[in-house]
Amino acid sequence: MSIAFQSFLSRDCLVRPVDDLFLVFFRPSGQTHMLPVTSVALLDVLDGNALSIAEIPAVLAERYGTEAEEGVEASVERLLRELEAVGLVEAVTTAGPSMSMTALGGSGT
Amino acid sequence: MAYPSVQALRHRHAMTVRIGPIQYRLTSPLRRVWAELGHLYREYPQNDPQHCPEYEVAVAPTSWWRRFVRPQINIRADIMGPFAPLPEAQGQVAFEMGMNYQAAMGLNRYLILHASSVERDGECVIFSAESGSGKSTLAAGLSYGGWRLLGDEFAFIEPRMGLALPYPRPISLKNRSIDVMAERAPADRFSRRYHGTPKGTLGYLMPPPDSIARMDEPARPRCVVFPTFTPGSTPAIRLVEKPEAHILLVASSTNYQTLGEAGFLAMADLLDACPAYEITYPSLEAAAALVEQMWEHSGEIRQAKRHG
Repeated sequence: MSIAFQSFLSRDCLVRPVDDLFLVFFRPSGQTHMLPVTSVALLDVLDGNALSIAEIPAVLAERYGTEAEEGVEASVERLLRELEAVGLVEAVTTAGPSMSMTALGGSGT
Repeated sequence: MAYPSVQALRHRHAMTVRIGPIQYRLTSPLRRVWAELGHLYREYPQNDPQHCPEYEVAVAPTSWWRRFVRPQINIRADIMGPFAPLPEAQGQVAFEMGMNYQAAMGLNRYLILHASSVERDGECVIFSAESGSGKSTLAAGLSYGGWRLLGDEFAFIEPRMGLALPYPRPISLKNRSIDVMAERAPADRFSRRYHGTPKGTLGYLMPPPDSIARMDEPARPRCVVFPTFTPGSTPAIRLVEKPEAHILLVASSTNYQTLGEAGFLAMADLLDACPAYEITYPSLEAAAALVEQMWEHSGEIRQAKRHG
């Protein structure tokens, strides 16, 4: 079992740029959040796609054509926790390898 | 000596009056209050059977005996607010408070900003500020200096087209502002002065006739201004970053949260279309000059946008 995070950016949010920031209207809470580009990029890569903290830097780098910096996980986790606190991302528990095999039609144990 | 009959004492004056998109039904049994109300709203469409009243505001004695002993009145309205009783002599103030409250708390088909606004050539400047910052005086001065008054208290933004709808109620002037405008507007457009109100001395100024006659003509917002009247200051303009403008405008809206998604989109569109400025000014003349500068600047920004 491990922890992953996902958002529902396209389903639950309206996003509008304002200068260098983004206004994000979150439908479930009815609140508007003003976020930097890094937070919106995180919401984007997690949109309906649960990823662990360890996986996120590489996906971000691939999506946005940047280089994954070493030791960035701590910053990612801090941002995720802030976004989780306002409901913009959810922590989900993902299955371990044996459960994944079951899901893929394997025998499992 | 002839005494008024019980029936006459129970009589309530009533009328409907339309101000921009809102039709009010106003009632009061008090003859003096009624006379002042009728005088102030004499140029507005009244008792139009084509429109249903949307809100009722009644100003009536707090009790039967307080009609005669230290006369005191209450506001009764469709949307009841924290209205405190007022002396009967402030009946007009009570009507204005009640009408404001209905618009601010009930009119959820528009994004409402606590702001004054003036129009020229189909476009408008929105002045967003807290009470006491001079936004009403600024709008009054400009509207008696060639601009059309859209409103001195609220700006109604229609969410689909992003237009500002006129709501040209009599302008509420406080304390020294009454004297400032007395030098600029004809005397017959003022109410009497109401002393000792919760906001000090109040006076109401009817908008110029053209502003009332054109109350059905909306305007496209061109720029947003956060004004601060500071006596003795040097006139100054600062371009406000959009994120900061968003925070200030959301704080000034009475129904941004209530409107949800529609409010978010209307506000985002407004910010997208309008540059925002902060101005500090020591006099109406200085403010008028600053408004002209912002008008030019915002026009240039829009031209630059159009040409990519």
